[in-house]
Amino acid sequence: MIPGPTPVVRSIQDEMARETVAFGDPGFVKDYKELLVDMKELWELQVKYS
Amino acid sequence: MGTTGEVFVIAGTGTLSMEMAISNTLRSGDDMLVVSHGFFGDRFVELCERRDLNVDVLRSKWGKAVSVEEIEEQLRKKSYDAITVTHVDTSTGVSAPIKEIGEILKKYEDTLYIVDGVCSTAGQREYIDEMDIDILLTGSQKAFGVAPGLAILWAGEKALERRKSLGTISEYYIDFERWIPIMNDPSKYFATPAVNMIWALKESINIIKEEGLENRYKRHIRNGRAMQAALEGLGFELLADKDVRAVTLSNALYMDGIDDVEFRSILAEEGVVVAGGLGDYAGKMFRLGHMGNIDIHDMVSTIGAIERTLYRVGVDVELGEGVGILMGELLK
Repeated sequence: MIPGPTPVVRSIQDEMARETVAFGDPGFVKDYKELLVDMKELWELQVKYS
Repeated sequence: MGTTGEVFVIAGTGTLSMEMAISNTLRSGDDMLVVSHGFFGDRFVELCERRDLNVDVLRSKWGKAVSVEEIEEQLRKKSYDAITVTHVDTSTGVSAPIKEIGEILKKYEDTLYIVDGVCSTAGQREYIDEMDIDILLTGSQKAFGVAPGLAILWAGEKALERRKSLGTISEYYIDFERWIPIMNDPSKYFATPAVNMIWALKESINIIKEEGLENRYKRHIRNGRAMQAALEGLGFELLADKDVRAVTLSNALYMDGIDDVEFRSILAEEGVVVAGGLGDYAGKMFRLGHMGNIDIHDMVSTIGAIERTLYRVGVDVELGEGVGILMGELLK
């Protein structure tokens, strides 16, 4: 219970334990792209100065 | 929702993302205001000095916060190219009023607002546009509940424009301009992405989406305040003043007569590892994280282990008291 690294739950550990693929793998590229879109939307990164 | 700006997720740490924020927005001789509430605020000073920036520091006594009024007064006195604020300084457990600071900065359009969210992002409320943040930076290993290994940084339009105005910068790996094409199209290559860590963060985001970001913030408030009430009920004083206390961690000062090494060793035997104090508080307190994907079982067992440890080091503690307070707070 130190303030980071914090406990890593099983489903996240499972992702870290997956067989590593090439960074050009279409499935990985899709996942990376979706992650970046989600992170922009969740934290509401929007234009402020037009 | 339409979004602009960029988010960068690359192999690295929170400190790398701090360096990335500075390197992409400031050049030698620029004026920087650092608001420091502890060890990690001071780290920005070191980073800025290495880049030959002119740094002014508003520093609070540990456990206290620089007031919004002091910040505004300093901004009125001098024009700054950027200001950095550590949302939650892990060394002190102090949480900065980032929304209120963002309000003030609306009047200072030439000053970039850089928020260090290493000990807060995904645990304490942060919305980039609403809070007028130009750069929010963090790492993967805290409230995201992922292992260490990713540097994460959001940059708004104003920060990206500042980067363009700098031309070529000396840093290579952390250059926004090199990463933007990859962040827009991850099939392109600049440097090798941390494939499995990206998947791990994606799963963390799935968990956050399922819970709801607002619900997650509320859970952190409930959990944090319950843990803090339990610690105080056991006799610990918390370093951070109540009105500026973070909810992602607690920095608990030892009662007289407790030896830090002995306490933390016995606590580890009881199944819980906590961090020691930093700086002048080394040996005088322990730091307990309660952020990310922890649940009620983690918290109850942690407070129970702390009670057993107090008992074993000779403190007159009523066993079960802390656990009772914790559960009472959580069930309110």
